[in-house]
Amino acid sequence: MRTNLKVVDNSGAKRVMCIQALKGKKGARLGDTIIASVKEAQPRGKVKKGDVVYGVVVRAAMQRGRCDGSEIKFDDNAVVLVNKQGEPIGTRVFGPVPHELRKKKHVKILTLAEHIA
Amino acid sequence: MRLEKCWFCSSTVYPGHGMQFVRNDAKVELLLPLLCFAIIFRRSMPLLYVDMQHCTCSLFGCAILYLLFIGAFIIGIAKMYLTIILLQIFRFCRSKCHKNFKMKRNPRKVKWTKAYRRLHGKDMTQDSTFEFERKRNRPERYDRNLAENTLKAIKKIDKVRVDREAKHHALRMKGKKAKVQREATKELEQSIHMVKAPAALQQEPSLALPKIKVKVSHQQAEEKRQMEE
Repeated sequence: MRTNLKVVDNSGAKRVMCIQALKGKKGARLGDTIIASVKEAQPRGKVKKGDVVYGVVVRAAMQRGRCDGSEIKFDDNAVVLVNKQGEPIGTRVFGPVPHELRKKKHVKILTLAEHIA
Repeated sequence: MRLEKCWFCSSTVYPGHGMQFVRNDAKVELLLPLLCFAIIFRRSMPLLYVDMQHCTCSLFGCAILYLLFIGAFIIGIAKMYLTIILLQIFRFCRSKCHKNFKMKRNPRKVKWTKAYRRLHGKDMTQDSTFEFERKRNRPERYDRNLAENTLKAIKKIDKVRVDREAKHHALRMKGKKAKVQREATKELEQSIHMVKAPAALQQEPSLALPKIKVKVSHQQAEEKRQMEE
């Protein structure tokens, strides 16, 4: 809630504010889906300022435990906008994305990603 | 499964241990030929994207640029700067290394790291046994014989490496015998009271160092006495 996240695809939005975490009592983490409100957008994009969108958290500064016991954390908080079915709105994804997306069945984002960390 | 090296202390990070930190915004400005060198040889740091600024370049740069980015037109004769964004994953074996990294300490200056030890010649730097541990990015097809032989070889290579490191250490520590001897005699003279009480020393003359008698001729003794007066 109220977390500002960077948007790392080319859907048109720049910054997005989380208004609801779909799963999890303590909030959304790396790999979870959130409902967000677009705060800053590029003038000609698929989404506009003030839209309510769904997003998948692809980078989080908070460490997340992996199933082998190690932990991973990123430099910033980033999100990729998706539609209700989970398919990304944009056509490109910038920056590294974690393996965790595979388990959450966000395969499309993984295929678009530049680097899988 | 891959055994990584800790970025800070260079020890092995086994699966299930440690922390990974993915940093994705390291902007580096490079001259174009250097950039090409970096791209070709920097296999460990994947390149994310290249941001073009100052669009003029030399002839050499032009050729490479054409190869790399098909469709880019650059005309002119001058230096070319490009900013590239590199991705780096830092792996740490334990929170000690991670905390030191967060404090922005340079591992080459921190005494207990392998980087410091190698830099200052405390540990072996160049050896053929290190070639076996080089990172190979090509996956090998599983072959039972190969796997068995590799496991045997690992043991042997480790033994050889440890022996060589011990030799290196011995060589480093050599040449201190005389100094150690001198220090020992001095300590015996000065601090014998730490071991045995002075009263006991007088009773047992064998414990004290023998007093060395210096023979002085009669004339020299006279001269000294006159000087003292």
